[in-house]
Amino acid sequence: MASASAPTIERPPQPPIDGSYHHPEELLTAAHSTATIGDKIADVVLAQPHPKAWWFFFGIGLALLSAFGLGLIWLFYMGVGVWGINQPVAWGLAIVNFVWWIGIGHAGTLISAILLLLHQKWRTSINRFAETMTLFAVMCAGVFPLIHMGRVWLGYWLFPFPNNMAVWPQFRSPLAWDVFAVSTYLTVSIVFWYVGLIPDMAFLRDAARNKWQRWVYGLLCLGWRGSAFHWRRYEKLYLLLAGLGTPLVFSVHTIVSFDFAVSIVPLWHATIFPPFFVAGAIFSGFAMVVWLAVPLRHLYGMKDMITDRHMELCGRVMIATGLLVSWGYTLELWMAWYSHSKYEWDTTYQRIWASPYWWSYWCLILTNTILPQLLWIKRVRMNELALFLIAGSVHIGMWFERYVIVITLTRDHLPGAWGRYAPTIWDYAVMFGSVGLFMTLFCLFLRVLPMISITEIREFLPFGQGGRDGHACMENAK
Amino acid sequence: MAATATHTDDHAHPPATVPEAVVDVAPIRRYSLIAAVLGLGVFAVGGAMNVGADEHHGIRDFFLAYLCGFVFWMCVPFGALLLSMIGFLASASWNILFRRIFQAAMRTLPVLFVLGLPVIAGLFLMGGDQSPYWWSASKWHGLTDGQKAALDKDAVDKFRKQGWDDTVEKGMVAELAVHDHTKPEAVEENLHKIHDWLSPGFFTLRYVVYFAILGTLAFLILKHSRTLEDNDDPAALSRLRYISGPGVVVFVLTLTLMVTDWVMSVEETWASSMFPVIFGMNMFLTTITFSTLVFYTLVRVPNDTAPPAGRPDLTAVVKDKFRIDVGSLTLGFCMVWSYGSFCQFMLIWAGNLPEEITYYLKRGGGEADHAYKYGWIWLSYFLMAFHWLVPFIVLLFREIKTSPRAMKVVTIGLLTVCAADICWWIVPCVPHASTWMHLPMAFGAILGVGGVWGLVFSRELTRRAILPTNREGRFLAAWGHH
Repeated sequence: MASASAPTIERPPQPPIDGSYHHPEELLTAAHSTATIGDKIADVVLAQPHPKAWWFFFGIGLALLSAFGLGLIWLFYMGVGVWGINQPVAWGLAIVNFVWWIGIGHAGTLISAILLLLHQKWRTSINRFAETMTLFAVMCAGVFPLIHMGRVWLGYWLFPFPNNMAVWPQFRSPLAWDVFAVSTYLTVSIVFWYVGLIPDMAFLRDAARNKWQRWVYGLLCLGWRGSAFHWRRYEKLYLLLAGLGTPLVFSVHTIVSFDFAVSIVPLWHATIFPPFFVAGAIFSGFAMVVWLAVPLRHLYGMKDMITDRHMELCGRVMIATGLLVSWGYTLELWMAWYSHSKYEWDTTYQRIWASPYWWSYWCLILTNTILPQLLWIKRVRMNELALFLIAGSVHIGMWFERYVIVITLTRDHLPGAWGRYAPTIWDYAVMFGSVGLFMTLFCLFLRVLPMISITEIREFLPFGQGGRDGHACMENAK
Repeated sequence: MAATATHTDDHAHPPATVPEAVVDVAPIRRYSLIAAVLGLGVFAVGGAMNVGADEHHGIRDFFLAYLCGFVFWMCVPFGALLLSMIGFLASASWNILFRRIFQAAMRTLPVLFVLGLPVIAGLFLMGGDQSPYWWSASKWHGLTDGQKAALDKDAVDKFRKQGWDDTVEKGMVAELAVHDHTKPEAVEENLHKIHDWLSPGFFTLRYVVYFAILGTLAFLILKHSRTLEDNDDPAALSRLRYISGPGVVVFVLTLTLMVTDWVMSVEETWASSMFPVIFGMNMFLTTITFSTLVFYTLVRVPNDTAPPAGRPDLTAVVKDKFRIDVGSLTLGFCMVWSYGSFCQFMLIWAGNLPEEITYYLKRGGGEADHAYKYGWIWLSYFLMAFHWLVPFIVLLFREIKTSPRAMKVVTIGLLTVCAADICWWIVPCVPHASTWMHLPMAFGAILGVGGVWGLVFSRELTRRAILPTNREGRFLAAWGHH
């Protein structure tokens, strides 16, 4: 029987499905197909022996983690007096490190949520490990307020719960707001990260080499079968979480900035602090993304997925956010001068010139404002080593930014209240130890979960090859 | 209700060419003329009534209201310049869509310079006593610096030793302090401020410098974007990016000083480092809503119900994706404005320092004597509702963002709100006569200045086709086809 001819859909010529596809925007540089993408990323977890360098980094992480443990044991045994804190600097390195880590924890959700909403295709290769970085960074951050309380076993008092001691948080204090902001951010970030992992874990289940892998990943992927219903719900949920995550990126560091800005200490009470802190957080977060991406590219051969183009774009975000941060420094100086407030201007003078800590301000300017200007030059952005070094400069600069703020307490309104501050070895043990905690957790992550999203990298492929031509499937969820 | 747009839907559109039609700007001319006549009428009549009620400050209120008109309309050309530069750096599609509108707005800078001259004139006429700027008043400029310094010291010492009443008639500082109901220390700060920065001559010089710097930037952007369009020259695009990168930095630093001079300095002791951010967001919002309104008024786009004949048909070019982007951008600016405004308020409220909190007390806090009396608190509530809450809800919907008709309503509303915000920053800085004419006068000035500016803008808009016809335009037309 002759059948009526089916209507034909005119499609432009598609590239062959033979693994010879190259992405036009250089977001995927090697020849790839859905199969090669899946295998390459999953093999790191399922089969590939880990490079020797992994043991090197893991070893350093464990060593620093030991220092962290030792620092904590001594701290709990002796109390916070083992640190250098006293009047007038009662916060010290604990809050410096807290804000530094929280800042680093911003890039992950920014990349995953905000860049998704902005249709930025390049987020795809870096979002997974950046989100993981976020989780670990927020965990490292959360340690510091807890241990700074002195009696860490009473940490649950931070939460409002009815009790017969009439202990209740001071809701007018931004320190109490921090508890809710950070815990909300951590919760949503974990959910967002986990939801994104579900299809990948189903892939790992299907590609598992032994029954343990199959069993564990099968459990974690929540019964994912990749049906149209699953995808539809997944896309909708992912988009909703992106919408939810976006204001959280702003809210967390805004509230952290309130810790300082609601006071009336000169140069702390600055209305620019909230956006200035958020920009700084993204700045330092991207610097950490660069620091993680460089070893991943080399040790795991991921240069074809985390391409030079990705690194260049990270450099661009760093120059943009770095300029915003520098604008914040300018506004601080400008308003202190313009207002002719003697307290503001005198404290500024102390900060930049007259106090014993003037050098820390200029370290900050050198590392956070001057050196990152090299990123204007494309050759520098394309040079991995240069980008890595500048990212390191940003890490130092962002640490000094918080140090400079905290050290301002040594020069308050009354000269009679002026003092000095010097961290002790126990301050540094916990500070560098927290880096060890981060490194250890991140090294472990690389062994058990895909560092790059398999699902989303496949979206780079053209429609005819099972991809979406670079558009995230979540873009159109409704 | 229009179908909700998706990227996938756009794949169904046939490929389009970019129409080369120049838009008919008759509607803009008509509205501009009406605005000029109506606005200046209200400004003049309201002002006359105000003079009748308050002979001492009636003239000052003319200048004060006019300052609102100037500040509102300066947002569009300067905002267009900054958005253009950001657009080139980010390769943004909205920068191609609104290219012609941004260019026309930038070309009005010479006219804007002239429109700002009445503000400058206010600093010099009648000894500067009728200017909206407190620091131009002759009382601050009567003595030499040496005399001021001596009087300062004596008066403050005496004030500290003998108390308020005994020093009322002695020394400039104490005199001014009593007159202004403030502390001698604040007066001292003011005198230093005037000496170092806020003098009429230096202000005028800076006015010229700001226009020179930003005018040069605008000239360079216009020149190279013309080359880009005429020759499809990739080198021109590179040059535009090379200019735009440092240009954005120069612009932002210049804007910081401009905002301090033109708006923040109307208040005596107030200085907020967040204010340039809030101003910038209001400027972006004004520019993007104005451009959206003009665009949807002059061309025909999808979902346009019964547009008048004769408009260029851009149905196949302006896809849902671009309209959603523009709506989302508008939403984003509203949200960042709200974020900045809330943080500024909360931090100043929590700090409760006299030199800062006065700003909010005047605008609705309840303690300053003229706060509730003139209804500023209601304007504050209005801004909370319509600068944040309502647009936040409305602009979440893609159905709204893709409907030209709905977006026209939204943009007219938001332009009104942005204008109200500028009035809220400027007008309550001084007490007024109880004629209730200060707000109508300010809106009259905004309409009037806008009418005059709009006539020039509309002429500039007809110079070339509404969309670039080079490969940028073709990119818009071909978007979504593979």
